[in-house]
Amino acid sequence: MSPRSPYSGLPQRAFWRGGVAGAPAFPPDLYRPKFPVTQDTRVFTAGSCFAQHVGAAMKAAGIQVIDAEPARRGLPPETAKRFGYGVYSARFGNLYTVKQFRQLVDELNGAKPALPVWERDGRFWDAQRPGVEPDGLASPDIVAEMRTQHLAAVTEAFAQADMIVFTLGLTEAWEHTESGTVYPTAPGTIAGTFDADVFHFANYGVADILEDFTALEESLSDLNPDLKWLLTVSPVPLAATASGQHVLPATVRSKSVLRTVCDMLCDSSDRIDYFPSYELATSPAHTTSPFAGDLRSVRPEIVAQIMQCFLQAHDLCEEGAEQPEECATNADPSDEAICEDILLDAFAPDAPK
Amino acid sequence: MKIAVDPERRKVAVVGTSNIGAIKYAEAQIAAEHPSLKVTCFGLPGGKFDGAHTMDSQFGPDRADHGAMKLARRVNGAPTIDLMAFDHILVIGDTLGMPHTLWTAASYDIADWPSRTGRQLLSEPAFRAAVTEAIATRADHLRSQFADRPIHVALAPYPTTAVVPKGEHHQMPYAAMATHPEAARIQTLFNDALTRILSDRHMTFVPQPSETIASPFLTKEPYGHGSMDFRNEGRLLDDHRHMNADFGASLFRAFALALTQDTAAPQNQEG
Repeated sequence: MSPRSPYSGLPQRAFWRGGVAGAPAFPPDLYRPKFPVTQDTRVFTAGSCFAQHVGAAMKAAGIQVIDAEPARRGLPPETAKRFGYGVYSARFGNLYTVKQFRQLVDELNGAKPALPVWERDGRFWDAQRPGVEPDGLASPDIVAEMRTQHLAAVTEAFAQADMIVFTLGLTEAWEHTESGTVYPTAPGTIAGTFDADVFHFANYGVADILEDFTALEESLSDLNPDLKWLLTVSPVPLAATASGQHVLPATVRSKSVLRTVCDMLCDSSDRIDYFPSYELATSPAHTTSPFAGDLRSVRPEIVAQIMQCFLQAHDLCEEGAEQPEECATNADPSDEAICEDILLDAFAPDAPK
Repeated sequence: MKIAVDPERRKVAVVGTSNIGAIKYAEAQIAAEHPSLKVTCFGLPGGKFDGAHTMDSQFGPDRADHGAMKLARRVNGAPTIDLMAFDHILVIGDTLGMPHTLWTAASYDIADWPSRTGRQLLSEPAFRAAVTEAIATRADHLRSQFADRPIHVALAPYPTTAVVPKGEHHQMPYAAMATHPEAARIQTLFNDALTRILSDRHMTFVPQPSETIASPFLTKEPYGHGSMDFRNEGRLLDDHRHMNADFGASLFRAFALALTQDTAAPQNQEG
């Protein structure tokens, strides 16, 4: 006899009441991994600034997070972090868009980004990762020399990896009009100069991102055919939008597109999984705001519990750490992520001059 | 050489790690050269010194560490020293970020400098930031140990050139500095940063006297011969990390010279 309704007999997790309303903000069965992550899994981490928390939690759980440009002996921890050491699997800084990630891999295969060096006050920045050298470098030649070393390290990191953990952060970006080269920050934010005849604003849609991801995945398959992917969407709202919309709908548009892309990619491949950090951060089940006073940064204890959900799903919490807080404290949630996009806040009309 | 500091005899406390031994064993020479200064030494082994602090003007080891208190009493005649009883305090022994600086310098090629050895590149701003962080971390600790007392600070001496060759005394990262093409530049950068960071915290840096330095971050080998254990009278160390009485006398001369240049008011104005 067929059931009365297709919903009858479904588990509690299928219903808002009991699944969210009346349930913990971090329900233990929210995330069911497609494939296991173990302490032996060699993980390559990249993405928008929220990805820094993911990498840190994985390291703390003993997962082999690849670091192809580690801070060498002597380099103190705060300096190392400020200069991009140990933040991701190499010193590429935040990769906010899939196109930026694709471009990095294309560069390993010989492509040359346009306008690779930006200048300000006699100092020079790698336009593809301006945040990792906050004070710039002495000459364009040094920028080029350091980039060559960096790309060799990135290649090595990809070759070692079993899995890429990538946090999708933004759909908005600035491109070099003639070549299509994309940059992690708008020209003129950290360095360089904005020229509307040279650069244009782009707001990627689902089709654009799927195309970029497909190309990225294909390129990486050449380097490492067995790679798996774990995708997340950053819950951190846009610091600013150049889309002409109010920043709130612009944020929802951006996150919706990224979330849709993740679902489509997950559905398309057994080697691609999605971890719902976005949903865990923005769930209405939180009794207090998951965001800090700026309504943008996710509170450290929320980040810790999000990552605890991930680790628990993979049986990677330490023995005896039964309470979410106990397990999550390993993730060092007090560490603040380094995000260049917050620099845009300085351009707000009411920003202190 | 006699340096007149003040018409009245002023009291000086030399406080620090095992490295105060060089001053302690130079006591007679110092007394002869600086009759206007009366010196009292107070030393603790490095680890115990690191945990020492000031309570009600008394500097000493963790009061709950009975072993350290007992050792301090045996070596110094008292478990603590009253800092208010002295006009000047010279602190010797912390390396103040020097090992971090040297390890970083030995681990990377600094991108902005001409030499290349095939190591990973580190930008000069990152190197400067590393030096600053390494020094500031230790300087903050040192400042907190001595409450708000103005102090003069001398680094633990550079080890002697005997640590360069492989063998009994070999010691990295100092050995690496013997052949580092940028060692002189690193030493200048480190000393400038150290002077500034200490000064920001109301501490005065007393650099190691140039007459004792063989090359950047290395002391002339003869100063390592005859070094003695500050805890046990007459026990020879000769480890080339601790220095002898000649070194102590030279360092004290540099300190006394710094006092003459010091524009700071005497510390016991309140009485």
